[in-house]
Amino acid sequence: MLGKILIANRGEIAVRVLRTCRELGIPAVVAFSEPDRESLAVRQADEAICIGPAEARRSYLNQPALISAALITGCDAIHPGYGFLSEDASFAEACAVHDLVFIGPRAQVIERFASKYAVRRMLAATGLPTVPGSRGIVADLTDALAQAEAAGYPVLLKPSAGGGGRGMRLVRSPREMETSLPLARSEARAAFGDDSLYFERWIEDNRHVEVQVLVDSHGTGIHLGERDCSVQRRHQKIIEEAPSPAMEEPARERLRDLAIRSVVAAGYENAGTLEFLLDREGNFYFIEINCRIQVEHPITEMLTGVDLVAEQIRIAAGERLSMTQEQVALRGHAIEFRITAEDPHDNFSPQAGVVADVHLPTGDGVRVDTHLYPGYEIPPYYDSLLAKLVVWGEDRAEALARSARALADFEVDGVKTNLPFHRAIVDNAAFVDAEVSTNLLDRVGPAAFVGEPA
Amino acid sequence: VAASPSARLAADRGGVEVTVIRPDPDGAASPDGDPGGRRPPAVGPSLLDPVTSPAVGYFVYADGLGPGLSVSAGTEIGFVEMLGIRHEVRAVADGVVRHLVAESGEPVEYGQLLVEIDRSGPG
Repeated sequence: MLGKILIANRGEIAVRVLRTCRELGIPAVVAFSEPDRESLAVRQADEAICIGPAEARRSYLNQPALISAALITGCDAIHPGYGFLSEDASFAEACAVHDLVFIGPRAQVIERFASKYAVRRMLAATGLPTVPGSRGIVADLTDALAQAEAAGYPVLLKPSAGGGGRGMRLVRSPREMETSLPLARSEARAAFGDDSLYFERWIEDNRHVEVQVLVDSHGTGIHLGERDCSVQRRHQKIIEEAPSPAMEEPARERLRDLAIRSVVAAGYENAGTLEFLLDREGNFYFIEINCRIQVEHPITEMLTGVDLVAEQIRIAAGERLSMTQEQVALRGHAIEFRITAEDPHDNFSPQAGVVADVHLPTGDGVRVDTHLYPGYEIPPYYDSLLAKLVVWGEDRAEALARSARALADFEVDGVKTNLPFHRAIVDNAAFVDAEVSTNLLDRVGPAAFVGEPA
Repeated sequence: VAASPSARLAADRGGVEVTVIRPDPDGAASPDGDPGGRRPPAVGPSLLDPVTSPAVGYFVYADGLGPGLSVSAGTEIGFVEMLGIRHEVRAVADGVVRHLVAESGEPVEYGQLLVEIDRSGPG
């Protein structure tokens, strides 16, 4: 087992990781930036160390400072949380160079699973369905027309050198392909200096479903079921639930089984999440893998009783998984609400300031992961997540009823939050009937889900 | 390393209360990312100018540095060694070294108080 862990993150996930360290009896050191000196994780930690100023580049993304902090405090491992350096192969490698255990996949594994396109090809070869599309780079218009006909319209043209959605074009017919292909080429050339393009079929009204996996360094892997993350705003997840209300047997079991088989075959390691698009007909297509603990991991913990952070630590220490697939029991239904410092009545503008008071909901099946406390000052430098309300019920109806009650009980004074938005969503027919696709909020407009400001 | 309390030194000088805040005890002093305490204090006839750590590592004093030594802006106070690389620590203003707060060879965090320099001069 590991001797002492540096927690290289902030906010609720630093508190969350610290909790597991304490339960496992592993001393932990919380690394913090100057504005986080009064944060809950620092307050709760037996030991904490300032690693730099507010600017993340000089603190939470500052690899030498974090590694030095781990070394001078006598740590032998670093937990990166999510975001920041959690999927940075160079950081994992730097840890290894200094004999520190990176709690996540080894650097070589992160590197191999980093390129979305390469991973899709790699996992498609192990049997995972991927979105139909061109076989690599499109040669010319004739080639594009023939391949799009085979994949089926509409298709999304993407620059192969691009990322983050830049330079993509939706093409609905052969006629549009004739006009769009040259335009997309010149855009890609201008933006990336490379005009090579590929395409994938565009799946309208898709849902986002992901499978949680754990793979130890001895090549044994298990899945812990799927999560449905279809409630999104501008591609940011807002509400997640498990199991997916949009899937049925045997497709659900086939998804879970294919996911774990293919990542084990591809040599993945530690906790990971395989993301899929699910179309209206129930077909699923692999899109990418996340090599970290996910924000929404607690809903899986609520269903399984498995502490995913503890499993990450055990796997990183070289231990075998503590359970077999047969021992994983998925029970009931869980929903997570991301409570953020954003004003839903003002286009979700980020808020900062002092939390004058806070009341967290309690009761059966209610868990709140948060770094809030009365008097806490939310710094303006980092992401707006304040808390994750995680609610469990024997079935979805019970989880929804408890969610509505817990959201009503949740109070944050002094800073505006998106709580009114969540209260409106649990009351909304599309969500209650599980008919939410990933583009629903953006199509309808989030304003439709919140009333007038009080 | 982080157990150091936020030291506020308050002194009443002719009706003017002067408060010297240890570099950034609550993060408010340098939100722009300026290494805490490296800027000159704003007001006051006599001030202890805190010199703080610019890095995370082991701090070592420059040879001959001690209380009573006159320094000028740019004088080397010492260095913080972070993963084998030396990060120099220099005085930002003229004055007299008053307190050596850190110990040579001590592990230090970012922004930790190392030395206090009295800018009001000798006496």
